[in-house]
Amino acid sequence: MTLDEELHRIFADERLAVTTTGEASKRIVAGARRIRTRRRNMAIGASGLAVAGVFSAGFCLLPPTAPNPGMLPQALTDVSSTAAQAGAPRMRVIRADGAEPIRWGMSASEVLGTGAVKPVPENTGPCYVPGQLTTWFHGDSGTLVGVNSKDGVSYIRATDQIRTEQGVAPGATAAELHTAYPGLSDQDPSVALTPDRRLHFEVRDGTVSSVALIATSLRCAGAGKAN
Amino acid sequence: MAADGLMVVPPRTRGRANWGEVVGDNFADFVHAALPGLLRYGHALTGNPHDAADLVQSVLEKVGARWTTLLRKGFEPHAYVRRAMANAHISRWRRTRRENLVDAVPDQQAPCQPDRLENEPIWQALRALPPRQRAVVVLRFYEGLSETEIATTLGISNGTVKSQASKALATLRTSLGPDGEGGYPT
Repeated sequence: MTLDEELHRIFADERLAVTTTGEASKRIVAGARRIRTRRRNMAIGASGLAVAGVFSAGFCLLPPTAPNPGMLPQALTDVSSTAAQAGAPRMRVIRADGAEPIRWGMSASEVLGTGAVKPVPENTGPCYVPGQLTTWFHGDSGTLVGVNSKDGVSYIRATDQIRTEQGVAPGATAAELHTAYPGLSDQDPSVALTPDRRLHFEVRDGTVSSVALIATSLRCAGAGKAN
Repeated sequence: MAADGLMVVPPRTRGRANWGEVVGDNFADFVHAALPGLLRYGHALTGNPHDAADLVQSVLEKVGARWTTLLRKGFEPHAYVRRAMANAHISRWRRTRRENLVDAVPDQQAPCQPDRLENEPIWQALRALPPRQRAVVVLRFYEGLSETEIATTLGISNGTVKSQASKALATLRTSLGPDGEGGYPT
């Protein structure tokens, strides 16, 4: 068989087909509607930030599988620029080891070096670890990163353009969240990814409003409260 | 545009997809009709079903947000989406990803769906190609586009298409034969 024939064969292979959830089309249409609404609100709003390259929020198109916290990281970061941080990398998938380009345990200088975040004025944040200084950074999409003086990055949160390995993103409904993570408590919607860190979902009015990866050693006020 | 408001997509006479479909000017109808084909195409472009789903979803959502404008400007949706997918994939790879040229290892396996083509040597060789070379190969052998059509799709010159195709095929031949499986004649 020639190379041309082999290429035609592989591209005709039925295994190239990708099966999706039954809701895939609906989710795409809903995602497009969200982008349209967001752009309209941005045009009307007074934030002064122009967002280019808005990505999908919502749900993975493919049928979910069990989470694998031990999976090695993939660099799935997208780098659509914004007026505020032109060319800065964007978070995409949040896992046990962080959300590229922010990795769990990174130092403050490494976090700044990613270009994805800037220091929070007055260095205020929702959590702390007794005996450690926590430095806070913020970026686009409601991104908040907490870096402890001893452990490095111990808190990563985003309110947009982020999703979990199960495909849950801000904008997902509470029903979709519970489908992806059966047994999730309504009082404390958190999933332990490793013994020392958990994934916490903030749910408001039946919709996921933020996703955060939080060290269990952190003491947090309100949402994201550690045990 | 037909008188009843439906957009008729003429059938393709080359390549893998024969789009003798009639799609409404409704975006949801377009997505429902086009999604399986776009996912296949995305799988060919990206090399794994997870990234394919990601690519299709992100491009379609952006296209959907501008659907009425695109239709009004006379864009043919299938061609537009496929072009957008090829370019989005190349851009994304250039900016953020480091290709693993050694192995397609399990840690790259999609959390959502395993890749059933993992054991095909030609598939592994295709995945190891740089993204633009792979896009040229996909557009030529999957989509059946001409050199000029590929150049227009990717926004590059005919000469660049030629050289990218030549490099890609040379790499594939080296990867797969004569010592590997295949032994492809030149």
